[in-house]
Amino acid sequence: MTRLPDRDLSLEGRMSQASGCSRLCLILAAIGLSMTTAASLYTYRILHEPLESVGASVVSHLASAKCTAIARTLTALSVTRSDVLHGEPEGERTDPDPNAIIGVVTPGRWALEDFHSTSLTADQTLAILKGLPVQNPDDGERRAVQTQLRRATRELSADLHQHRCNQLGYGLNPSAVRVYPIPGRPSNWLAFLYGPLTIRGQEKTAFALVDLSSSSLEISGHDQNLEELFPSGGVQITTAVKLSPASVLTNPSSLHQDRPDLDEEDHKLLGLRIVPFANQLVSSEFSINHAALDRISRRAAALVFVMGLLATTAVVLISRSSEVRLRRLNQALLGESRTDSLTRIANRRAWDEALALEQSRRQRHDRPYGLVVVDLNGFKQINDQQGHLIGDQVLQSAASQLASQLRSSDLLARVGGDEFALLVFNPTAQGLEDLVERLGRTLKRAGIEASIGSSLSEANASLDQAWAQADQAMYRVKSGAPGSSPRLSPDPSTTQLP
Amino acid sequence: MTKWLAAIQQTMSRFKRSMGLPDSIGILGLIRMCPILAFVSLLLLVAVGVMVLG
Repeated sequence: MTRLPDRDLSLEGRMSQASGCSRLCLILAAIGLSMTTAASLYTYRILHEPLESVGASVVSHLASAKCTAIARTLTALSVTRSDVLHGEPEGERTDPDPNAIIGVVTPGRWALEDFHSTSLTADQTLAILKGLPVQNPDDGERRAVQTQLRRATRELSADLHQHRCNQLGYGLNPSAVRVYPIPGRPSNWLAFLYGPLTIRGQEKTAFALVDLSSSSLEISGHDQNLEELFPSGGVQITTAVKLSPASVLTNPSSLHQDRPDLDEEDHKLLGLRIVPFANQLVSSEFSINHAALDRISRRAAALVFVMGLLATTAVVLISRSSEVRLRRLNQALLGESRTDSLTRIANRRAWDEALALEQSRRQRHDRPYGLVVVDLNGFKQINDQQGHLIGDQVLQSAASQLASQLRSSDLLARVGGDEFALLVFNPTAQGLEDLVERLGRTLKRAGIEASIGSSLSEANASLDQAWAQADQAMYRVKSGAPGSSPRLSPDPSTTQLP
Repeated sequence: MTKWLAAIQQTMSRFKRSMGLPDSIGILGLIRMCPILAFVSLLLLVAVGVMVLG
């Protein structure tokens, strides 16, 4: 049966009200998610590529710097050895690397000759050298200390032997230079040994102790934070120098094409013969930590994604909250539009809708309906003589009294100024008559006079027709007692009540 | 701690009211009522995980 919308929503009502998502929420969520995803991907892209580029640039710079340091060391080693062999060559003196300790040692007597040092004393230098396999290169192998050159690829070794690298200008064969880590020193310290050579009956070994960290990030002036982009910090940065020594040796200009970042000095170094060797030395020491680079981009993209999601969630929630509020308001307005403002029962609109709805239901179950029409007697006189305020109170009281006699499945509506209508579901004729009597008695107890007509719906007539019959019955009662004292009618369908 | 819990419960209750949901609804009910919210929350959790753990 039709009832007025309840403004205090039940649990089910609220659940159904909140369930599902409106199209607006879905659209907002889809737009937000799409924009967030796009922004995250874009952030990842614009960060990842420059970071990789910066990483590659730094690695290239470091490779170049270390290459320069090693090349300078080898040159200085060559010059130092030449000093011992022939005396200092005029006009060809190359200053040693300021970070390199360069000299010649006589292993048997541990005497230093032609010793250049800017940081280590002779005693410290000798202590380091005594820890190295200065006399016999095989000792180094027994101690599992490999020379970098022994790690050289077969192609590079062939290049070094077949091309001009065999003689570096001062009789230094780069293939014979051994490079060792220095025990007790950080890994960036390397010892370059050449020899032993028998000079005037004595074995001598040329050496250079080099701190290659001097060409690391700290010196090159890059941001210290970039060190985390590389494995184990800046000192052990490694890079794969993609340079073909063979092509450089046969065509020196190819070095500049392949490695434009190399210093000008690198290109001059001994007619470029030493650079491939130095590159080979550093080739296993530098590499970009792509995972670290990727982690930075990934975190930034995730941050953007989180912010976007939070914003999307906020927008969707606000929109949904507004929507729920709007639904509640609509619900209240819907209820209000079908409620009589004075008596708070159903109004004519609700009554008409209910009648139409029940008519369609009746075609399915074919149950009878009872239509009751109540018209207050002398209401106009009350209004005229006692004022509208009293008239309103009479109407409210009548509505309240009538409602108190109804079942929850019945509908009471105010269909006119002083006219009420009741729709009673599935009554018997006797039940409807009893109801009419009860209504009359109740109104009488409240001091209200009314004419009441009722009608039971017939199978071949509509509810509107039944309502019209009830209306006519009410008018018959009213016309039968034009005064002010309605009375019970003998006809069960027409009753006038005092 | 109790104060914090009370504040959280109050916030949740306010949130449910603004969403038109009864106070008695639980997490599973929330997920059933607002699948988009659950999905976004899951994405948020994953994104925060990526951001924190790298």
